[in-house]
Amino acid sequence: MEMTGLIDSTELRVQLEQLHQESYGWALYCCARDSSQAEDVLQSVYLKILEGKARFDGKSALKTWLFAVIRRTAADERRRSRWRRFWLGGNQSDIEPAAEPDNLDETIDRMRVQVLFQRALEDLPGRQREVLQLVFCYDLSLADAARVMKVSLGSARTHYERGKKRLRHWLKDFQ
Amino acid sequence: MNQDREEKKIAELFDELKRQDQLHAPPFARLWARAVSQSERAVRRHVSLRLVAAVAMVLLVAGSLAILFRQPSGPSAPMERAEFAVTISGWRSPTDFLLAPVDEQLLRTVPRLDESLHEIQAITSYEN
Repeated sequence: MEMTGLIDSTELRVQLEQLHQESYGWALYCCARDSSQAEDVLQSVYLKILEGKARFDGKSALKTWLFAVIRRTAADERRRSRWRRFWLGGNQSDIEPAAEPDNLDETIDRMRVQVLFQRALEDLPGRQREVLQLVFCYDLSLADAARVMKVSLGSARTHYERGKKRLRHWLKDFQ
Repeated sequence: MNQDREEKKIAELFDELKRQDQLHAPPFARLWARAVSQSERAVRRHVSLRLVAAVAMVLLVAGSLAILFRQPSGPSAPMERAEFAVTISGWRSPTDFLLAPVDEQLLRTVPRLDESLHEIQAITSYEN
């Protein structure tokens, strides 16, 4: 969805609605799979858009811009919650480990693979995981992924190749 | 060839992950409506804050002007002010006489050579 110029608010709303599911998935990833936090982040993103604090300037695809806003908002939220935890004296780590299914034998094979795949993803360095997620899950080009991550294209490519290589190794071991 | 197969498998796993993530996405309308109401609340709060600030400013300016142009507590009319000035200038301390030297008259006047001693004594006795 290439946007070349500014779009009006009604059209923007329609476009946001079309991207909503993907946006939620990305927010979920940015919030370490915390669904309630992802919901809050996405709501904050919509609020920023409504208040004009986040303005689409048409320099990139709407999806690229939106994902960058979600990523930034989630990072702000993480920072804020770190401070909250600091003042309240909590000692929870930022990223919760993936929930361990109670009984893997009872889950269907696909779910088991999925859980293991998620774990393999979590073992990847953040940047590698992020670029793979953007490219594979959300069909972003490497250039757009680099824009979302605010890194150079070369750097994004390196992270992408390394991440893919590690996942291939994981896949071989798994099979 | 093998690499392509692996990449395809990875893509499938990512697709499944994406599908799972999006399965539990809250409805867009709900989040949008919440954001809209939050935005309206923020606007209302902003307006009320501005209103409070404006009222405070007006009160501050009014108070300052009232202090600046407050009438003095003394006499107001020019005539009264003049009378007041006269009264002030005529005022004498009740103990003022204690400061006056005993032979003030003598000190102020130059004695004449042809004056009799009686007269001089009369003046000094009068003073006393």
